Amino acid sequence: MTRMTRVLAALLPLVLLCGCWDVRDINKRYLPVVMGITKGKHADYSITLQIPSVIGKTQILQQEADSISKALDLIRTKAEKHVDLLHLRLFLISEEMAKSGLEDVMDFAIRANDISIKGMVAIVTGDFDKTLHHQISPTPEISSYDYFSEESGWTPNVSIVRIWEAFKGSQSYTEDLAYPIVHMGTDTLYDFRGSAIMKKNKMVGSMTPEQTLIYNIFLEKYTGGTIEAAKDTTVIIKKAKMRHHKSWTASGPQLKSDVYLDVAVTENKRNLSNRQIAEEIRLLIDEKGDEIVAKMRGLDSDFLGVGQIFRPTMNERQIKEWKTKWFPQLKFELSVKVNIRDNIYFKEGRQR
Amino acid sequence: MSKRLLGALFVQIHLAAILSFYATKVIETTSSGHWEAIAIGCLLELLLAWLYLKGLSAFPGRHIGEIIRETVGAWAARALLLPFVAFLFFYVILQSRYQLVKINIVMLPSTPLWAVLMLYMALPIYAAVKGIQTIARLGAALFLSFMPFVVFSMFISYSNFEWRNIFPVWRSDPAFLAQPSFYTSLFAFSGFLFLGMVSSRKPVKLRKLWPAMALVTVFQFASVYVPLLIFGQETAARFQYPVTMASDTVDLEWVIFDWLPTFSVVSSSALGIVESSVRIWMILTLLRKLYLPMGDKWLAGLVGIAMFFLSLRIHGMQMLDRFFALSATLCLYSMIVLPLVLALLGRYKRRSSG
Repeated sequence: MTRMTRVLAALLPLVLLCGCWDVRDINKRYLPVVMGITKGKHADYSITLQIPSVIGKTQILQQEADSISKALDLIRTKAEKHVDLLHLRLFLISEEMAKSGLEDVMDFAIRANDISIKGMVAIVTGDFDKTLHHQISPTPEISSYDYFSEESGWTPNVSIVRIWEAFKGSQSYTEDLAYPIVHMGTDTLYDFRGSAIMKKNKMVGSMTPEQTLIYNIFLEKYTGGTIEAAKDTTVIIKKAKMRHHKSWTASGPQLKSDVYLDVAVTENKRNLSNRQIAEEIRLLIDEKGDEIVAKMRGLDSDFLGVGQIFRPTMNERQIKEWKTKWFPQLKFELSVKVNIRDNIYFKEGRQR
Repeated sequence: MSKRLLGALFVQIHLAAILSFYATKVIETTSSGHWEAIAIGCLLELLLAWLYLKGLSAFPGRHIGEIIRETVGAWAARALLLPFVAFLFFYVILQSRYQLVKINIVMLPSTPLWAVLMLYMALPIYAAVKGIQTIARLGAALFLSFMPFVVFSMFISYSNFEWRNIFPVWRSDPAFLAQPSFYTSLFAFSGFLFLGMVSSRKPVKLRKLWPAMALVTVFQFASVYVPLLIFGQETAARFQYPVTMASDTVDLEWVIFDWLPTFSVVSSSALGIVESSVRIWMILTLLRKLYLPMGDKWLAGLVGIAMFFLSLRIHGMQMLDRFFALSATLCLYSMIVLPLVLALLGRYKRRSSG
């Protein structure tokens, strides 16, 4: 008898622990991978979910409501299957929405316990609805977030921002961020259109793709991008290193940053010597760098994360005052040093 | 019990607290120089554990309930140990509740809380009835199977570390000592008290425990600094479960790692079960010896039911935080008064016999 009860007691957990409480089969679920958020026509938000299906088409569910969770709730109500956000990996936000502030979007994305905070954020310029409904000839294995995945189609031209980074950027005392901007592509899903410069959680300006490349170099988030130096010369960047010299004088913080680039020449139609190429690239990056610095000044957004560089030298009060008091006083100089590592299979070019 | 099992149990009891509420409380305590708060706790524990073991070594083969009862009488022992028993009792409730909410948020959003709680209570109660030897062996098995996960879930996010977030490192004014959350964070250092209950014939030496203590200290620092390095102080301070959040920041393409927080939650709740078992076993032993001479099984059932219903009575996170702050006094009493009493009794006994 006791043995019997023991066996029964041991078997009981099999029933209790199988994880079958309110379980829903996978074929009874929608698993969206992309969420589009924009301002609605009749309500505050319009939410779009892209759900890949086995036949290679993307199903789209859309709903307007005054809060994101309410919109999702309404989508769940009208959907035939259970909508499960576990695999949501990309948030596409309209430019209009980004300009009016993303505080509630961030808050929702972090708070929602079924959304992983490693999902990515991008801003869509141009027609938002068209971009989200845009489909290219069906290749079932392509999902739109592959575009941003470092293990897949990402290139250093594109800045990637994850939800937790975006949230961190909006909370941090000492840095701002730049989100990638995409546009509906012609032969692919998206075209890259540069980066959106954020200030706290509002979009205040944008950078071109070339500027974004330099921006990525500055942040040392970087592996192998191509730079078109002059009309006929192109180099690939093999290694980029930053060195910051910081000082804090009576007039405020000062930063001198040196960019060290190791490049290889991939195209050299005019047969320039390495010194000439290096000089051309230096001038080009200097110019782009100045543009970025001018933007940083003009928009008053610390998207280069200069505050982070100064963080070790500041005390707590200075850190809190960084964006309001010290950043506007910052003196910043950027200089570039280019080293041509090799010309791949060729010897150094010589002008004929 | 062998030294190794004891060491493993020591680590697990601490780790359970570290992985659940410790980081949150420390990050709440101060906005800079977190290591100071951690180091104060570590040094305090080292000192108190030394006093405690010193006292215990005068009474080989006895646990604290017996020692105090035999030297100062039954009623004094009951009065002295009542706050300790209460502390253990409330601690198990609060700790399991804290874990429960985390399990509910990350893993089982649609399972009712009472169902998870029932399991979370039943296992430790059962283990506690079986005695410390069984718990130690169970602990050893869990130690081997979960330690890799603990290490993995904590350090997998290293690629997202931003070392500059460590600044500002120094904090000269000790204002954080006035924060209630600092004292709740000390819960995580109360683990050494179980050494007084194992009643080993050969006295446990602090020297023998140092590898376990060093490991615990490493995890104490890691659990606070991993979220800090990733999110920065400003952001980490807003999270209720910073360690679990930190493990979610890594993107690995391999599909099992798609939902990394589960690793963190599963390993921390397994450790939580071991910790609760030890604490419930301590409660049962003391209750039987001093207050309610009843059969083990009846007592366990009674304690279990009381804990289950009290835990269900906690309605929200705010209430939980308030209870944590309230039981901090019980915790401080147990951590400070008991070692002092034992050290004095040990000294008295050595004097009178030698």
